[in-house]
Amino acid sequence: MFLILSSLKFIDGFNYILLTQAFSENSGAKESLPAEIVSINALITRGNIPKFNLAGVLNDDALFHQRAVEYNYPAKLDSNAKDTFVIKGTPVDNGCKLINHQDNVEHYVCEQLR
Amino acid sequence: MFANNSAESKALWLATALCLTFIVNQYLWLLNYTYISSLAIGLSILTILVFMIGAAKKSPEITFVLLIVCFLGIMTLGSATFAWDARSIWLFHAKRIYFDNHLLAQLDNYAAFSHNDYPALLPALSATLAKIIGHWNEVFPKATNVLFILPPLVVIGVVFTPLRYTVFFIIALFFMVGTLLTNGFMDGILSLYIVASLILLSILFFEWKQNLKISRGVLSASAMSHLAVLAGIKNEGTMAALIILFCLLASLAIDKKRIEIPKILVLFLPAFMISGIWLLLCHQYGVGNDVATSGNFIGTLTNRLSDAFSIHSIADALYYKKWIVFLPLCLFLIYFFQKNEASFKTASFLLRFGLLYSFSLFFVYLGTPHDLQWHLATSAKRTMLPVFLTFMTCFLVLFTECASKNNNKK
Repeated sequence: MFLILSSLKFIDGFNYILLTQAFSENSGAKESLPAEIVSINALITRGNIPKFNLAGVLNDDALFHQRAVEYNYPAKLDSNAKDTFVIKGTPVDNGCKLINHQDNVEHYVCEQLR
Repeated sequence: MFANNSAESKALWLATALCLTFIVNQYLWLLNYTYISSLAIGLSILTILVFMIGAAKKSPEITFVLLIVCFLGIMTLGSATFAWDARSIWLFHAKRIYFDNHLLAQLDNYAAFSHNDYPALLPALSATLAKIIGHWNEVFPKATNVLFILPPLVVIGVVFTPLRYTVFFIIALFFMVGTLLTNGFMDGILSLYIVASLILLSILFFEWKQNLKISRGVLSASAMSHLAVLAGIKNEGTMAALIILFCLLASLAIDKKRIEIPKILVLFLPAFMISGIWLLLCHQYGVGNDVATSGNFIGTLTNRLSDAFSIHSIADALYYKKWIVFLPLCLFLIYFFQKNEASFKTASFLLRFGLLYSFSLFFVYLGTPHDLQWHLATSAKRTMLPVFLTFMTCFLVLFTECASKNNNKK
């Protein structure tokens, strides 16, 4: 009885669909990460980008920043990289050119962000 | 291979072999990676598991432990990985080893937030598992945690017989540690290795559980491998191994027992070599620990020592937990024991470790360069787990002894 009660702690976060996909490539990303980070990864994969930069909330918020760094590896965060990702609506420099977007994340190529 | 051995002895051998596989795997990543090395590690783990199932047929405790590990495995593979340290430190280090094909990938100090000085024993196995399935994902590498849980749980299953005591331990473990066993954190695993090491050393040095049909060679090999893995899990593991060594020497001296230095050296040397090699590599690459290197540790410590609010905050965060109830329970039970009994000596050894480890944590928090309230809020609950699990084990040691005495009287 106590064993069953103590086991209930584990049931809380259990997801049967995730279990069935446990061996599939890239599985678990949508369930584990903020949607913005998954969108950045889609843009990085599409553009085959080795180094990227973050700006605005994506760079200032510790959760977005750390998740973007770890999930997008082997693409590396580099403050000198021209490929920059921002949340839609973030003000950017005039020299920045919008390349692509995925959901509410935009991909710019620019020298420097505001 | 095990023709004349008991099921418990076989299981303990296999747990030792599993620990050694974890260690070998780490150093294989130092050499140039080949798919064959990952396959060899995978096959060794599989072979050990098959033999373990064989051993479990004759032991209900080992069968129960295997069922629990299966349950934890299913829960791990069916849960998303979003815990902060699990992603930012452990899975990330594993990912770096996987993509860079080298154990020391993290020592370039890219993404300093991920505590690049933390040991890579567990991430190395996660990377190996990912290589075996041929790709990276956010779920499967976490299965490593469950593989690491198996050896110490086997020690529990072997020592706490009959089955009801193993079940008691698992229930207490689930209530105290809970999802920290499956969400990618290391603290639950660290606590289990500490308890397993303490138990094995108690059997070897304090003549506890002399009725076990296990040779001293198997017990020594098992203690050595558990201590080695303990030191390789995270930095606290090295601190725990040092405190265990100190408490062992102190307990032997208090009990006026002969201190066999060569034997103790052999048991602890692999652990200190593993952490020593890692510390040397970190030093060589210029990667330091955040608590030790950022800020003035001693200066902060002395300042906070004279600040009542800081001391109250630390004491409150570390000791004001429901699991502390095991400490007075142990002291109450100890009162009924003869001082020359093996269980009394074992319980004293465990209590000394628990108290000293908690005092060490107290000093670490006193000197932390981070904001004290933030550091306590984000880690105190986890870092005290080894202490509470040790107190609980101490209670179980005394309780099982009391119960067996009562049975003998009847």
